[in-house]
Amino acid sequence: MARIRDTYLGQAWLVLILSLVFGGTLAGVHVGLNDRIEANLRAETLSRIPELVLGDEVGSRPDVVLLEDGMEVQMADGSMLAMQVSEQEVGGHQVFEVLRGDDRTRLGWVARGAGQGYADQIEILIGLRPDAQEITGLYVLSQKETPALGDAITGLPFRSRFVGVPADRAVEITKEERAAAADRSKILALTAATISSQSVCDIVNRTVADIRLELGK
Amino acid sequence: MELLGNLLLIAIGAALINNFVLTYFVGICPFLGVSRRLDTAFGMGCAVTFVISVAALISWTMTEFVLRPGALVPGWILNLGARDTGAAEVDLSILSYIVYIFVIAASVQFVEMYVRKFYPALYKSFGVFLPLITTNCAILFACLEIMKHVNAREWGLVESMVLAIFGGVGFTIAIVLMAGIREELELADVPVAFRGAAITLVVAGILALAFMGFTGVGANIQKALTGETTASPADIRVESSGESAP
Amino acid sequence: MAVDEPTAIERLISGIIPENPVYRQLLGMCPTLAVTAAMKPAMTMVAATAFVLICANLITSLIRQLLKPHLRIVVFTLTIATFVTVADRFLAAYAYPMSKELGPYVPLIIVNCMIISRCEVCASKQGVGVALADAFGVSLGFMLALASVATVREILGMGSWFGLTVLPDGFPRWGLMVMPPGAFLTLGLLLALVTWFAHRRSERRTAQRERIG
Repeated sequence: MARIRDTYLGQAWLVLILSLVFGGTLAGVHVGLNDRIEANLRAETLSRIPELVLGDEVGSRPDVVLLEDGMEVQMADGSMLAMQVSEQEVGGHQVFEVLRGDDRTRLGWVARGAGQGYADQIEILIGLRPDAQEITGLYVLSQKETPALGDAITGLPFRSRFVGVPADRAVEITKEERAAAADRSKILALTAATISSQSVCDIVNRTVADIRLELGK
Repeated sequence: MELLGNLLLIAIGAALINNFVLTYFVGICPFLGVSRRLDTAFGMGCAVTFVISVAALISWTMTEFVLRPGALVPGWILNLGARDTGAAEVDLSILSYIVYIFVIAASVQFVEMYVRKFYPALYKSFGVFLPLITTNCAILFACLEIMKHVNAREWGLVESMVLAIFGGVGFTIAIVLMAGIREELELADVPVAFRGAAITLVVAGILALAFMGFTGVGANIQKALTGETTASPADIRVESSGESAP
Repeated sequence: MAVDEPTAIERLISGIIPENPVYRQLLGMCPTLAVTAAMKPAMTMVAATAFVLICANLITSLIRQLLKPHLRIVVFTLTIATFVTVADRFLAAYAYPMSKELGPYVPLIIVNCMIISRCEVCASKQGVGVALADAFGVSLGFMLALASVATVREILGMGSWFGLTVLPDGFPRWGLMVMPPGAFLTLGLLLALVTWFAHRRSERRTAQRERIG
């Protein structure tokens, strides 16, 4: 018995010392890097908000400087606009209320929605007008659709089909260009990626409905 | 009802649609090494399923109660020492990977003891491959998936166990299919350069191609379960201008 | 030190091609298949794996006198898991998009048989210099393996290399290459190619020896 104790416990001192040293290292890494990682996570969503809410006024991929409670964005005419963002949970979705920095008027809403796509989960951000009557933008946060076919939902051509679409009716997929041009609520599907396109529409419908139901109360 | 539908989606997703071996590329080493004969392959599949389930159970418990940001146990311990109850929430998630790998090693030890006691013949036929299950990516991968969903507060114990068990089932399906094919291949005239791992990989590629046929099943299951898409009525009015409370 | 243990230079060279971890030892196949859809994630994975391998070999070699046979696997695992966590956090902090793309495959470096096998075979028995040379050699071999698979998959699958378009637009892109079947097929065919070369070399050597003897 004493020999077993000699073999295992007595020699576990190396493991214990290593555990302490490595634990200390990891704690240091955590303290040092955690803020940066959280900032990266926030930036991913927040940096999209200006183009989702303001659309053409900022153009795509504008210069965004993130601040403590919002951001500053360079407008298409060169001026800087300060925006404040307040994060809320509305109807089961993460929603950002976007306000103008100086007078705190509401510029719009940005909601996060998720759902099953063709291959796996799709996560999107939807921009809404301040009165939640119209969709002002769409951004795909994450998707695992078929490369070169379904993953074209992340491209601007598909996403821009959702701008100016009324939020009080369900959006539908159509394969005919004429039908899509005639009715704003009909979205032209991507070639050879009908299911991915339909999935995005379903997520948009569900999210917008949840938000509007909750906000209208 | 919705929970059952969600579980069905997770189960079929883990076993077929996103098969651990053929879609996520985890568990390749035993897949290439142990798939020569049908009975050892099936035994390995069952052993892996057993280990995954045990490891998932323990790692879910650790993740939920110790490791995730705001977990309960470190909070209790911290509040025992400190007088003020407004202590910041504890985040031990940086220790996740270390905890998982040791949980897996312990699970393998436990399963090894169990198999040695109750199935000695099976234990002998496994040889060195049973302890090697510790380095099977599939188990750590299952733990990581569970961690991702538990940190996002999406999954409870049931969903996590369903993922683990059916992930193991999917691994078993893949390895058994491969073993059946390889037994036939032994009678074929495989070029020297391809013998062994190379032909197995090519066959795995064709298997993966076949399994790609399951893509889209998930979307259809969910559609069948949740029904029509919803739209909010047109007469909902939202305040368009409004000061929100700071 | 035993006379017949490989020297640092020998360890370095043998890790690159003769004992290539992926093509000859068949270790580390999981990342080779998973992250090689394009060159950029593949090379990031190589960098992370190299970091872990070098640090683990270094630490193991430094404490090799203190290792007891029963607990050495525990020590290896602890060391590797720690360095993988460090690498993963650094990637999340300084290369967030790439960290998201690599996803769960960075923590899976912990169970990459390659690293534990190098700790066991080399670092726990030989000095720091040799262990480091071994780590470098194996990392270079790993890089060669991943680069070969990723190059084929990215050029055929997306017509680009490191994100720069190399195939003219007229060439159709083989979408299958960036999906799982493409990974298996590419690695299988390349493995067969390497095995064929290795067999030819050993056959020639045997023929030479028979002629001389």
